[in-house]
Amino acid sequence: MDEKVIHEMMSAFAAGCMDKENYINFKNYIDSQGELPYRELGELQNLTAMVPLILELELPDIKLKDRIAKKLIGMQDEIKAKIKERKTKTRSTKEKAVIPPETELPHKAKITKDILTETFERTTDKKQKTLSKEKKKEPKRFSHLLLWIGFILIAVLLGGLSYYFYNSSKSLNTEILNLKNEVTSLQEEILSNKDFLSNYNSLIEFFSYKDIAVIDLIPAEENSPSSGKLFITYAQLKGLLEMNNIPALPTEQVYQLWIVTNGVSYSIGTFSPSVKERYFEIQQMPYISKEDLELVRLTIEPRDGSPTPQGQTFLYGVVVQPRTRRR
Amino acid sequence: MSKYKEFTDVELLKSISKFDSRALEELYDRYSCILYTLTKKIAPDQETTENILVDVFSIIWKKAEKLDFEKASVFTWLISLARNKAIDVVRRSRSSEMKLDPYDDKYENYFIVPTLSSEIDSLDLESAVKFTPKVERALSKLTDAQKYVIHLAFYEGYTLDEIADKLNIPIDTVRSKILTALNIFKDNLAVG
Repeated sequence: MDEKVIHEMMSAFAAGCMDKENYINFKNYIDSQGELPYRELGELQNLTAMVPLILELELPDIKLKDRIAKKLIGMQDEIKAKIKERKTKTRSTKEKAVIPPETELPHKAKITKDILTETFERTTDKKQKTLSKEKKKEPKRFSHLLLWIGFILIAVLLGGLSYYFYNSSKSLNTEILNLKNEVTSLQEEILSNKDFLSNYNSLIEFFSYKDIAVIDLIPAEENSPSSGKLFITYAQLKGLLEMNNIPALPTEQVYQLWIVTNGVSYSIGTFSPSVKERYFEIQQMPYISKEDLELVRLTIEPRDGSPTPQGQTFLYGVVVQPRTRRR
Repeated sequence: MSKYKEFTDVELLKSISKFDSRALEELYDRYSCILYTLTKKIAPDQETTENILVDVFSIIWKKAEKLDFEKASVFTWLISLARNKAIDVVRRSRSSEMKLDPYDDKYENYFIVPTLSSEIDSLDLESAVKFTPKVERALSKLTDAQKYVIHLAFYEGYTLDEIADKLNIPIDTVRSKILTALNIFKDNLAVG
């Protein structure tokens, strides 16, 4: 090749102004290590690369770095594939190196002892370095192991403590709840006792009188759970009405108690019992003789009461006089 | 201070070839300025400039191992890479009506990733920057015609025949002018 043409080609190649065909030819020539003044080509390449140094330098936008970083992140799969490919290549190269030189390269010159020792020494040295590095790593591994064991123990301990505290607080909560329930039931008991006392106080007091007659009141309707009693002391002209399971009435209605003697009904009083109230004192009973009392009725009347029984009879009690007496 | 700041350009490229992102970041901090300025000089607009630079650093990330680390001129490799990429973009936009080679990995390896001489002297950014005043003086001594030819070839991406066509001179003259311009530049640089 003409030397001048070679130089021109190298200049054009270095300046990057070769047409495609010439570029391919020249690149292939270089790749095949064709004869060329490579030092001179290198100088020309370094020279042309220095041309932009005279430009007034500008800084790129700060965001450009982020854009590049994002692009690289997007290339992760490609890079992973590249790494994998490289590893495969390295492995296949190593496998090739394991093949005995006699079988792989029978025509090549034999390796001399000097080269072999030199290679061995270099490899042994390398191996020694690798071994010493591994030895240095061992205590680190051991300390790592200890660290892990310690970590696991702490985790177990913490877990146990948490479980213990959880259980303790759970049992304490249950205990508190039980105590609360107990307090509530005691309160209820006190209340019921109070109710009992308030309910039965009238009854107890009433029984301090003498000559008491008791008239049982039964429901007018069959299957009704309601019942009652009328306690009368003829000596004191006082009474006590006991009412059990009496349904509450609408506000415009009341229960009215009547005693019937000789066919005439006398009003004893009106009552609006609540659920808790069982006993109603009757401070003044009309004068009646014991023998004349025939019937006791509890009727449902308007709120202000009625002069004569007009409403539905709710409870009643028939007084049975002893025949001997009546005679 | 990051250990990468202490790395030479070759060491950085070696680390990048092992996909060390911190090394690439350091390389970006060192070279982004010169590569951006060069790309901006070639590319038609800001957006294209930035896209090219993003692509250049992606190529560096993927193909750093293609640099011969034994005889490495990192500065020349990077400048050539950025220049090749930018010129390729400009040429593609210029010859939109012509049949274009598909831009794939094979094309990139062949036409974009630089092929440097096996006997090139090592040159890094720090050394190259020291040459700047000399380079300025050496280039200033070229004739306008020589400067223009280098400008058309290096920054505009015209080929020898395109320059010949543009300047309406024989292609032999263009070849000769490029050779002469580079030789004078080299001599002037040596003189200082």
